[in-house]
Amino acid sequence: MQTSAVVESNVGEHTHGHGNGGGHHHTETFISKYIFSTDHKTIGKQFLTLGMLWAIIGGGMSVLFRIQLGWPDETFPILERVFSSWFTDGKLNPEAYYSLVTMHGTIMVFFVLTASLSGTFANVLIPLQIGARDMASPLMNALSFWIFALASVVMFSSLFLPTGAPSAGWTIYPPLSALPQTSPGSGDGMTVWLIAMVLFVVSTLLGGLNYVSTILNLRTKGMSMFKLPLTVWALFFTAIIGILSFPVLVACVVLLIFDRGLGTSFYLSNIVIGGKALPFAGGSPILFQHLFWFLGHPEVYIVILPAMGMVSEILAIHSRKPIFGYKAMIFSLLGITVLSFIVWAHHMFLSGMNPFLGSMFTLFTLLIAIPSSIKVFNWLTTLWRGNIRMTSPSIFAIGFVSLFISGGLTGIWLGNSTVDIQLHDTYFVVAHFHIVMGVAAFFGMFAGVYHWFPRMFGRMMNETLGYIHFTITFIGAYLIFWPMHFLGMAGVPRRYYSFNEIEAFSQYADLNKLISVAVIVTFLAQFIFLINFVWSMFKGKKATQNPWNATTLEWTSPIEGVHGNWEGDLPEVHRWAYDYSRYADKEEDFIMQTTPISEEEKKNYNQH
Amino acid sequence: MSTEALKYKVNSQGAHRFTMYLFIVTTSMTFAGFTSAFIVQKGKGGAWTSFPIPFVFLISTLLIIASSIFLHFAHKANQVGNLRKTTFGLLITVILGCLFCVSQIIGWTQLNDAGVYLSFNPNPAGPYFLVITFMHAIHVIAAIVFLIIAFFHASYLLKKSDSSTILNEIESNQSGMLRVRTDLLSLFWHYMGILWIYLYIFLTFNLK
Repeated sequence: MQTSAVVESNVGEHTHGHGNGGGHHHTETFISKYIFSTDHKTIGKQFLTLGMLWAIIGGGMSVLFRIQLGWPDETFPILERVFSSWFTDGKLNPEAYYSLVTMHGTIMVFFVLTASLSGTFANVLIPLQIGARDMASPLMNALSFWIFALASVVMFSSLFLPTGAPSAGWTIYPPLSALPQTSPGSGDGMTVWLIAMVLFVVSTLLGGLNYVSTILNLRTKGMSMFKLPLTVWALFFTAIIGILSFPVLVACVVLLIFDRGLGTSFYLSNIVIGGKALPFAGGSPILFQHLFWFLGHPEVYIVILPAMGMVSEILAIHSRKPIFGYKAMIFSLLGITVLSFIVWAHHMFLSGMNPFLGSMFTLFTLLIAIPSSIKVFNWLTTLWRGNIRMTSPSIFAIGFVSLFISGGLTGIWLGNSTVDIQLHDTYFVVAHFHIVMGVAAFFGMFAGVYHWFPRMFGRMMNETLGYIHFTITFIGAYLIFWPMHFLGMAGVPRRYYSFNEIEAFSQYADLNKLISVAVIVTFLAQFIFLINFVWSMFKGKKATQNPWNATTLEWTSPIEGVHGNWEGDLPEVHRWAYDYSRYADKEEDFIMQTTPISEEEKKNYNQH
Repeated sequence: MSTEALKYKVNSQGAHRFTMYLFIVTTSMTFAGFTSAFIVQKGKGGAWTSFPIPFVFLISTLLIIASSIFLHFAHKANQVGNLRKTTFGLLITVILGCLFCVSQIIGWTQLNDAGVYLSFNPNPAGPYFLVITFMHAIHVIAAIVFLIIAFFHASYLLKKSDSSTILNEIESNQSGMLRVRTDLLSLFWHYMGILWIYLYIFLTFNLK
């Protein structure tokens, strides 16, 4: 840390007068450098740090409610001592159980896998990989993080409300979310949730607008769109999905706020609570579902696309082969982006929607299998006969492919409206989306952190701890979610507090115990990663300029990290990002994007 | 803001324009959400009764169109460096924008008196009309805040240029900033006008 500050101040003299982004070269204090920084590299680290904090909280919540599901008869006085407001007589309260499930979903989907995953890697990678000095608007970028931080504080504060945290599920279906009488968490808790989410959307849009604008406007000389690394393409489509879908969530939430506070009935109709008829008339809760899932479904692609992009990049680098089907990868990302907007109603097959509409949405949903399998095929063929280096990033990337296949296949089941009648709202759904979107996106994120850690901190992470982390997490993830498929097929419904009194489901008590043990072990294993992360930041092996022998621009920028990214002129790009093992007679098996095409190459030059 | 940072901002004007277009897309998506909810609710049938839209909303339409014309002149004047006309144009735009909001409030009051109210209205058409026009007004108010900032920026530069004819480096960068500012603002303000015309036509035809 100390050395990088010194280098930066030296470099400041050189950058002055070159291009338009030399930036400030006055001495920076700790506050201006690490807190209110507008440097995209620092903002990326801020997103990562806050995201890891959220992941621990969100993951810890799942441990608490898995303890309830695994051992519904036991009491845990120790837990009561720590979380006194959530436990009575050593047992988790039903209200607290629902709050924990709601907050786990909200935190993991929005705060970790949307804001933090895109936020970290879009910030660290986009300017460095396209050859820009910074984002199009560094100020907006910093605002994006700080509004996210504010949203985080607001959301976190909902846990300490006397009436309890929001408990209507992360999908906040009305009337549960609209009427404070329906549950304790639907009072102040839901109000705070809505405020936090409005802030969150503002932050996401500020970030997303910036990412798209940067990618389209600030690419360096020679960096045409089809020379971009796939990470940038993936982050580009992610930002576009966010820009188009999050505003609809705003419309959805605004109408809900009016229903909650001002007595309108957009989503409410004919409600009787405790024998008392409420004066709401004419609204439709299905309308809420339509508006919500118009965001909610693209949202899952916002979560998975950045992971896909990073995995494509990492697999190519670590198998020392060009990515198989570069353009097919881009067009399949485009296909997923387009299709993501016309499949939302597959979340609503059982909501009373017209069954003819259901068959249309089944068709569109199954179409997503095509771009998804193109991607899987290309990842496998990239690995095929590659000179695979089994490093922490590459095993996590391979783990991602495995999880994406197992989770994706069950998506074909659930996408069929007829099969969904049986499987809807069972543990099968929980298993499907956790594997394909939750765990897979986390694996993409881990792969990305291990791979770009030297780019962020100038040091390498420990490989041995990386292997241990991978092994426990990979086996643990499958142990948690694989049995849930069988629970789901047997009809075990999700969201239930306890299965003790239901004879048909209490026979799976042992299976639930197994899942809960796996959850605890897997959760604890994440601390290996955290220890590795913090330790490597200060004591890790110093990274060389290009530790993975990759071709992309981020490894040409000084590894210490300088303001403005490159001393002097910006690099010029001459070739695509995947020239690995191109010539058998060369000493190095990769050619940097900045290397001009040689005469000999020009003779048999094909496209790239 | 340091000179370097100002220069960076002015030089990446192209990217900023593009970002503004993207922001316009996001706002359009929000209102697409509102108007499709409107259509879904109307198509569902049930207790849906149309009502006549007060005449004053037509006056609002004319006001916001007039304000767009004045902002256009201010922007054009700023491009050729005529700060006096720029300041004047921005001032008129702010006034017309405020009048638009007043006219909307008068319209909502008239509707309220005619029985089209927000809370516990058995007819969902009323709350939809009120919420959609209210959300548009919120965006207009936000834009007016930025117009006021631009107005003060322009009048500050005007005062400076009266006292000395040659601008120093920081001042010339700041007049560049003003160009970026009015450029982006006029994009958004024209969009607010277009959005209102769309909403006015949409609501008029759907509440026939």
